[in-house]
Amino acid sequence: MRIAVVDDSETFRAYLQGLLAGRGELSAFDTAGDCLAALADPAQPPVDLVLMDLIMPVMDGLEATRRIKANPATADIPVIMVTVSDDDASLSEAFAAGAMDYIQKPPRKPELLARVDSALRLKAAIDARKAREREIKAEKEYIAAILEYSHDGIAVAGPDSRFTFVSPGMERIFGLPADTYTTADRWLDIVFPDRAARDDLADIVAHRPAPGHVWRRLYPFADKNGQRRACQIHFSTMPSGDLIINIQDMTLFEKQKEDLVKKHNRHQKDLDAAAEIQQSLLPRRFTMSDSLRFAWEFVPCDNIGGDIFNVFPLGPHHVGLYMLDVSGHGVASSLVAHSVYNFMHYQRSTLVDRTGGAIDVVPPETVLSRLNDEFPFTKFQKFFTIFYMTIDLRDGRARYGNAGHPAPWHIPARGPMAELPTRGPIIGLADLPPVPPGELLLASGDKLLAISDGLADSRDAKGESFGEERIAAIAAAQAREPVDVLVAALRRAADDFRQAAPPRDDLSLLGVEFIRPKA
Amino acid sequence: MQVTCEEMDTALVVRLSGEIIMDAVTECRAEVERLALASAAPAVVVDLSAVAFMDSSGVGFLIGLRRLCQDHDKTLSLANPTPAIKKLLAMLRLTDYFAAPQPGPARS
Repeated sequence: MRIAVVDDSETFRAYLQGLLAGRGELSAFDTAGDCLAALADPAQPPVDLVLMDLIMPVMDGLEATRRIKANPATADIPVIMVTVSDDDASLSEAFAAGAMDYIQKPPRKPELLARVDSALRLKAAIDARKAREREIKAEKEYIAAILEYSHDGIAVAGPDSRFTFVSPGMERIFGLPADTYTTADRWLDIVFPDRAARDDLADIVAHRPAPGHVWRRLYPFADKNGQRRACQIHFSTMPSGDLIINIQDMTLFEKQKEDLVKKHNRHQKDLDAAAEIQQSLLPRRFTMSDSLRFAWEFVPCDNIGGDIFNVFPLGPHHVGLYMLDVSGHGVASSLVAHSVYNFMHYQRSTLVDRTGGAIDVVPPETVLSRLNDEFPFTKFQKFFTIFYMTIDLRDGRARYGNAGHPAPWHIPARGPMAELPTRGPIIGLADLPPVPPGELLLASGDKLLAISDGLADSRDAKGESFGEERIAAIAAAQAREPVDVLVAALRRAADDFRQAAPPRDDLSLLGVEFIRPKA
Repeated sequence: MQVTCEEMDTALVVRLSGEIIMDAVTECRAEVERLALASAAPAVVVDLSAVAFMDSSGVGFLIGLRRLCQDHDKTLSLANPTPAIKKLLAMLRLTDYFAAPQPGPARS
């Protein structure tokens, strides 16, 4: 710390400096004017204590002390008067001028040091208190700035619902000057025209969450122009019982959410429409002829899949049937499925050759090869699996091609059921070997069951798959039943297994039964 | 689906895990394709040992990736398929299509 010694006697200044050696830095002045100038000069080191001579020419110690005390920048510096006179009048004057202490010349060293130390301790305490005050002031300003510039509105309501604090953010959110509402009730009346919201808020203001708990809710409100907006409010209670209300404007967020829901609904409507179209393409449920009957079940996945199947007459003596599953699901897969459906229409030359007046049924492996040319993977970035079969109703001779589809089951009228063994690769990749031809002779009462992989891949709530073994077991148990009973049993088992949850992929079941050769 | 990647001298090994289904494919396709093309290795090996389930979207994704590699003079093969995926690839008759390329005659 620094001590200033002011005395017009050079000898006395030197004497004091000698006594004060080791008590900190010393500055010596021979006039009060020089001392005042130095104290006022920010470039000079700050002084913590002044030892002031009382009687000096030009300006005496009393006047100098008065001036030090009158200047707020120096008023905290303690002044000790050092003088020869010790009469009551001089003492009174010195204390009246603002001196904190008084030492008689010539000072005795222990007394001087004790008084100087005491003054310096006082100055240090004053400095520390002032520094803390500055810190507190800065903190307060900082918190005020946070509240001023925070986008959130913050209000504090006392136990009587009167607002003890309202941040400027409230004005930004609700568009009304903060002093529009002095109580929480008044605020509720003005900005929450919605009856339910107002009642709910009034209830919270009245009951308040327990300290440590936060309640958060979304409320509609009206701004100053009556526009509907939305805010989210956090309620918490201070230990004192005051309710802190923290408000965020959620209008934009809510609007975006609303738009998203609208978009989603539109999208869902499109999906539903696409699913309806997909289902409209499925075969009608009827028995085709005395020679053949069929049954099917179809469970679409919740966001439309790429399964399609059909059974149709092919020329005068044949029936064609196929089941296909386009990779992926969604609108793109279903559009590809529709496209294949059109390509596979029974009146098209894809399936029958009408040359020279004859109607020749195109062998399935040739049809699949045509599909492979027509639907390369690169066209839609999709592949599909398809099982296609033609049945000659006159003798039950069936020919088929299976491009990567789960093997259909042949369930003979007599003997054990078996998977159709011949199978080739999926449709869409030109550089794979062609689908080999398969053949089968259907006897009266034989059945065929084609299933898309959606059934085996179905999962129950625990994540377990339905599996092929389960399909085989149910089919075997129902093997002697009519085809519609067989197919319905599988559908029921699948529905029970999923417990009403929609399947992850389309689920298609198609069964045909060769009743007897066509006369 | 999670994707991790290890660059070896001769091959980039892309390890997929979780379920390779439509949503996962939509999310990760671009990243895997970028990884495959950024690698200097002439072969891309997709390790499926940690894949719990793959649907047709996943197969379509791998076919697309194989074609992309082919277009950039790289090979793509699948490694360590789980029994379920092995069965799926066998049903689709794609086992050979995704098998590691046999070392052919040395190219000059």
